[in-house]
Amino acid sequence: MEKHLKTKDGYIYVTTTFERWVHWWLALTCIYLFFTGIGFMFHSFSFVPTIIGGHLIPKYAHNYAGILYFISSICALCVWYKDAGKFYKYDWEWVKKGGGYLKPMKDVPPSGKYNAGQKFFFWIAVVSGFYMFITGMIMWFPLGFAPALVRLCYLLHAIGAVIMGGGIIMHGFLGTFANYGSVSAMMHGWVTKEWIRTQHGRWYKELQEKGIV
Amino acid sequence: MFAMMQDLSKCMGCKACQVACKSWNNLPGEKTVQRGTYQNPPDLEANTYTMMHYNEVVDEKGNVDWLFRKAQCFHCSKAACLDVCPAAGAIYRTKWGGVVIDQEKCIGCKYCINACPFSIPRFNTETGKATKCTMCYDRIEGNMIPACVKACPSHAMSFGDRDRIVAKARARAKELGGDATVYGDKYLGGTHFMYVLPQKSALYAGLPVSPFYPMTVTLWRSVVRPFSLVAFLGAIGVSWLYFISRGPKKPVKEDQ
Repeated sequence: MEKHLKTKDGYIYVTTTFERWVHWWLALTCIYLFFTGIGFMFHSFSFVPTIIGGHLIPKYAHNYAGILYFISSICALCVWYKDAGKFYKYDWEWVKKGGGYLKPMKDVPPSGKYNAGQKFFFWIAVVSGFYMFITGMIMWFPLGFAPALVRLCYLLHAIGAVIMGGGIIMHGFLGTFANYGSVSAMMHGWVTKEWIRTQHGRWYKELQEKGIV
Repeated sequence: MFAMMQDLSKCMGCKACQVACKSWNNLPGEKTVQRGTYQNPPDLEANTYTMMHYNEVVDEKGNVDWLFRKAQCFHCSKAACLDVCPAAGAIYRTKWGGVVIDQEKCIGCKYCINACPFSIPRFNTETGKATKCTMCYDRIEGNMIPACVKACPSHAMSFGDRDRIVAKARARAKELGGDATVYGDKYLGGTHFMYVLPQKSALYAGLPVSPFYPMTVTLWRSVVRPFSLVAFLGAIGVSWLYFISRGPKKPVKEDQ
C-alpha cells in the first residue's frame, strides 16, 4: 500500500478516504453512544437525552447507533488490522518506555506506522465494538433471556462504557493537543515528512527505503 | 408511608381484588383458555396488575391444602426497578410509599422487568411501556383506599400506616402460630405490600423464598457508576496536566 503513497510539496498522503470515513463513523457513533449512555446511567445527566428529545427517542437512537458502531468497528478491523493489529518486539520496547509520555526522554523506541499505544486503542475499539454489541443486543431484547444474564449484561455494558469512554478521551487528546500534526492524518490525510519522522521513526525509515520521502 | 397487607388465612380466593383492580385501572380482560384451574390469566400481564394464585399442596400425611395468594407489586423500600430505571422520573416513589411507573415517561427499555426480585413488571407491547401495580396512588390521592382492599369481602386485605400494618401482620402471624409468618416486612428494606402466610413461603407457587436485591445492580450503582466518573474526569485531568507540564510533541526538522 505504501508504494502508492502520494506526495506533494513535502506532504505525504497517509490515509485513504475510506479510512477517514470509517474513523469518523466510529468516532461520531461512539461519541453519541457515550453521551446518551451517560444520560441513561446518571439521572443528573438526563439533560443530555432531554436536548435530543426526551428519553424515548435517544433510547432507540442509542440502539441503532450501536448497530452502526458495530458495523464501523468491523470495518475498522478490516482496514487497520494489517498495520495496527499485530505487536512486534519494538512495540513492547515502546511500551516499556511508556512511549516517552511518562517522563521526558530522548531515546523513545521508534514506532511503525502505528505505535503500541495506538495498537492497544485499536484493539480496545474493535473488541468493545463486538462486546458492546453483544451485551447491548441482549439488553435491547431482554425478554428472551434469563434475567440474571440480562442483569449481568447491564453491568458488563457499563464497564465497557467506562473503558471505551476513558479510551476515547485519551485518544482525542493524544491525537490533537498532545501531538501536533497528527490530526491532519484523519482530517485530510496529508502529513509532513517531519511529522512521520518524529512520530513514527521506524515507518519513516521504511518509506525512505522505498524512496517515498 | 402507607402499606398494604394480605392475610392469606382470611383469603377465600374470590378474585374480587383482581376484578376491582381491572375495573379501577380500566384494564380489559384478555381471552384465555380453560387450563383446569381457577388461576386465570396464568400469570401477571401488562394489563393485569394483580391476580389470584391458586395452588394445591399435599403434606406428608396426605392432607390437601388449597392456597390462595394475591400476586402484585411489593413496593419495595429498596426498589431495584426504581434504581435501575434510565429515564429520569419514569419510575418514582409516591409520598405514600408506592413505586409507580409513569406511563408518559417510560421508554420501554425493560430494565425494571429484569431487575425486579419478584418478576412483577410486564411489558405492554401495544404501548411499548412497562406496567405494574401503582398501589392506587390515584385513589389514595382522593382519600380512598386501594381498589383491591376496598373490594375484599373477607377483610383479608388491609391498608394503612405502614408501622401499624406491620404490627397488625406480626400480631396475626403470632395468633395463627405454627408455620405462620409475615412475608415482606423485612425483604428489600421492608416492602409496602406484605403477606401473612399461614404456611411456609416455599409452598406458595411463584413466591421467591428469599428475594434479594440483584448483586449486579449493587455493583453497577455503587462501583461502576462512581468509578466511571473518576475514569472520565481522570482521563480529562491527566490529559490537561500532561499538556500544561509537558506541552505538545511537535514535529522536529531533520537538521535539528
